[in-house]
Amino acid sequence: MNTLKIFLIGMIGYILGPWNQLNTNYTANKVADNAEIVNRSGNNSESFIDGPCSFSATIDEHRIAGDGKGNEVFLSRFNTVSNNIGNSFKAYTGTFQAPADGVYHISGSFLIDTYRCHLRPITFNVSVIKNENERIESFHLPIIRYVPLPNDSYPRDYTHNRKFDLLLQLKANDAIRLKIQTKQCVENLPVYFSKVIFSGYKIY
Amino acid sequence: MRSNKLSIKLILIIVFGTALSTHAQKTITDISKSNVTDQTGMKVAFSAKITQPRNGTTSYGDGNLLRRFEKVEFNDGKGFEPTTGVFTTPVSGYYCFIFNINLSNYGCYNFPLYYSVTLVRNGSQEIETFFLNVEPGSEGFTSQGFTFFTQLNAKQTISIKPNAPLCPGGRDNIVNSLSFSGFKIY
Repeated sequence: MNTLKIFLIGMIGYILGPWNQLNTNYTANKVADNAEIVNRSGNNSESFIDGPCSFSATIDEHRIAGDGKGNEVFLSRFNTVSNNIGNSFKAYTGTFQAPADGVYHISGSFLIDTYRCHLRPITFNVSVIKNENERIESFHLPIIRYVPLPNDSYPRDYTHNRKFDLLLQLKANDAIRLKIQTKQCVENLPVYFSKVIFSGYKIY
Repeated sequence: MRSNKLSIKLILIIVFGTALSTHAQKTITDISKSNVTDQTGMKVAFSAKITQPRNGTTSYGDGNLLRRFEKVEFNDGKGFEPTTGVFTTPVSGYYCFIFNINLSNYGCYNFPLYYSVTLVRNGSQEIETFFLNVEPGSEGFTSQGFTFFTQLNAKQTISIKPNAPLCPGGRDNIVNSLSFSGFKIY
């Protein structure tokens, strides 16, 4: 009888032990959950330092690629922002600002209008600019030339897509913008684009 | 007296029981925690560049692979070796590779030419080839590139085998600059 009592009491002790441990773990997890909720709420960019960051914005109207004189122009006034987790992209200035140090993937897609130029081929130049004017990378995307044949009864459509992908290491608050430039044909025919998609996200 | 001794014994047994189970619990927790420090959370991303123009056709003793990268922008996970141009997978996962190249106009004004890039796994398995057009006669250089996704196991290698066909009677093509990047998605 005594042995049985001792055994039962020992068992109670055994069961009570983990209860202490469980309590500690539960409290720790609760604190972590609360921290995550704070991080994901609000519009304060600082609260997204450790959170996800992505953006995707579009210009979907017919525009001259550059300034019509062969100079570089910053791409701005995006019409639609379909994704902007972390609120790091500003549509009017076309600026993506990195919320934290990290590795980022950015992409650009350009729908270039039919370009009728009989002379030398040209390129659609896109430069990725960091902060004020630091050129990180330049892409000279080839433009397909449409040279009408003598028996062409109607102008053909040679709209085509060109794109770039880039992996970047950025510091917090580094600003990324795109600059475009196209040189015109001697016949004064400017290059037009009808769509630009500019996207990016923080890998880690 | 006898009840006092019994009380002390009971207290000792309860305390001993508690201590034993707490120790057991801690051991279990420690074992499960050690699994968290495995490699699945490892950050892998690299970006390397060739920044000086070089002949696209002549091998310069590079064999048939793209070697001698001149600049490493970053190399988290230390998978990429710039001298050999080889990426050695540090941890199994699903990877994305991004390749950009700027090629100078070369020969063949009347018909298009390509610069092909083959991704080679483990030195000999050709897993994919991309045919990048070079626009004939364009000013300066033209840019081309591709993005490629693949599952890789730890220690498998990825290298690049370029092929730059010559224009009949044409000049050698020039690689103005090139970048090869990659990162682990998960």
